[in-house]
Amino acid sequence: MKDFEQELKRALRRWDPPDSFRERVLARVAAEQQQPWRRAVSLRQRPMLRWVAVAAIVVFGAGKLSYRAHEHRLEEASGRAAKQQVMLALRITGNKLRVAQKRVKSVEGEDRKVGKTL
Amino acid sequence: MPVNLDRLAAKASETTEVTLNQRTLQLAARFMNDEDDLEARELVKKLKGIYVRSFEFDKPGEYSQADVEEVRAQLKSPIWEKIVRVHSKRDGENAEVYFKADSTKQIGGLVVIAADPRELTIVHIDGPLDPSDIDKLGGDFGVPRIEVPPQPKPAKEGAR
Repeated sequence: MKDFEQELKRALRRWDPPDSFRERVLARVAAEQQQPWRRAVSLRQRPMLRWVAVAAIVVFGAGKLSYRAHEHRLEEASGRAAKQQVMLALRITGNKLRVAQKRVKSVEGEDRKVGKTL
Repeated sequence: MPVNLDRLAAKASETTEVTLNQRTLQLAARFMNDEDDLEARELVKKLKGIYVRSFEFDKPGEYSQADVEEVRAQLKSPIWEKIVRVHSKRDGENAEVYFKADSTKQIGGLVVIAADPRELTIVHIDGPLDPSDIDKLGGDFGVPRIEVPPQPKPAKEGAR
């Protein structure tokens, strides 16, 4: 039992870190602040975070697909509405041109009648 | 539309307003895939805009000649050429057709002003129009054949 206590004491005894330890820690903190991606790289190695990242990508991808489908539906609705407007405009134009043509023809017809009587 | 016709819209009992710019026309053309639409699609793809303002009034005389004159004032030679003007004293119907002169043999645009005592319609089609396009569309949209006077050939350089 005493041996065990001795061993424990030895293991838990206080010892000073090497002289360069403080400098190395400070240098690493400074380097991480300058290059935050390094931390991201290290986080990637954690499996839980890996799954979170995968889930985020899936959700983002699904969202993007859904948005595209919505955009497509919206564009199709706008396109069909625009087509209806084009058809309406062309129909009105046709009708009004027909009025003009009818008048021109009736004037021509009257002229011909006058010509015959003369 | 060259003039603001909101004033007339306020007086009218029914207003039809169509405003289609080039972007909207291009979008519409992408959805004109039926067999009947193909010729119209080719026309629409070339156009810069289609603008229609049609006003129906409950009583005759709710719009004035000054209102129509405001539109006419924008359609001056040499840019615009009046091709047809018909006026009926009997029923007060007026119709005017203007073509926009183009440096090429094509028509650069078309304006139709149709007025009767209870209705005023102004149509502006902006963009190159081939007379044969109008001719082809006659069947589908009731656009009649319009006799387009032959354009004078430009004199050759150096020719006397």
